[in-house]
Amino acid sequence: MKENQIVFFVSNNFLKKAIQQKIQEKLIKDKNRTDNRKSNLKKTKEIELSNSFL
Amino acid sequence: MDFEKVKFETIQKITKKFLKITEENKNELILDIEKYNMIKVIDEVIKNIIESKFEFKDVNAIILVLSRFNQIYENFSQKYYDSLKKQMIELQELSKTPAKNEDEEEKRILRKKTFYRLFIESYIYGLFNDFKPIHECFLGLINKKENFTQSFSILVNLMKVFAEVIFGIKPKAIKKLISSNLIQSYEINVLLNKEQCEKYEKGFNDYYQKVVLVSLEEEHKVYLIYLLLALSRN
Repeated sequence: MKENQIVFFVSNNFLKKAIQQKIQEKLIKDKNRTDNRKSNLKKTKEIELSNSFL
Repeated sequence: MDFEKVKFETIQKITKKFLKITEENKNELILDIEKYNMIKVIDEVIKNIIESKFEFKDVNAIILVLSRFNQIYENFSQKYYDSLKKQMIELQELSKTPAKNEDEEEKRILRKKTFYRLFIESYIYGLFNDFKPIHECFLGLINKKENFTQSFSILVNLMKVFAEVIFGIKPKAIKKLISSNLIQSYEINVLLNKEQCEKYEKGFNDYYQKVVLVSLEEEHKVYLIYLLLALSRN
């Protein structure tokens, strides 16, 4: 393996790891968003129901 | 919910804290929300939050604080949504008048970027459930004939954050890495259905081809003329 190939291989691997980490962060954020969305919308639904009984 | 009994002045003091919500103070604010009855100051709290000069990095903290309010107070969601829409109209009205100088222009753009981000994030987090104003927000940026550069800059900023979660559009670089098996494929929860996503993706592509590229070409022509004039003078 030539020197410039090694540099490319290392930087490519480094980039891959960085991107995969970013995707992990994205997935965690997505889960938080979805959980919050569910509970916020559930709350709105409950309010709509309680209002309909007034 | 059982709240601690305190004087109204204490509640009023706490209300002021919502003028600045950050990652650092969000937990303290959430504890305050759970501890004190803030029903009488809800309108003021919403006003303080929406009209405060928050930054991008504060938006997540603000959304979590708002979600806690929404979980406790029945009428919160509607009041918050009405105030958001009011602020949106005010911002749109303001952009009809010319800015006094470049500084003010920059401040206006930044305010729009941060406010639109809060607006859309509020929808994604379920603080309101009406997609129409989000559609209008994107459409407004695309259809704006005057001040193309400003609208385009805001649109790019929003798409960077929301393209994937709302319209299911993954960044090209990521798609390429997935298709060449360099990284694993992943799926996140997309808010619109497949058909709607395809419609929007086509719309954004048309906008890019017919407006963005054409405008850039026009701009480059003007710069080229200036450059040639400057060179011919020398």
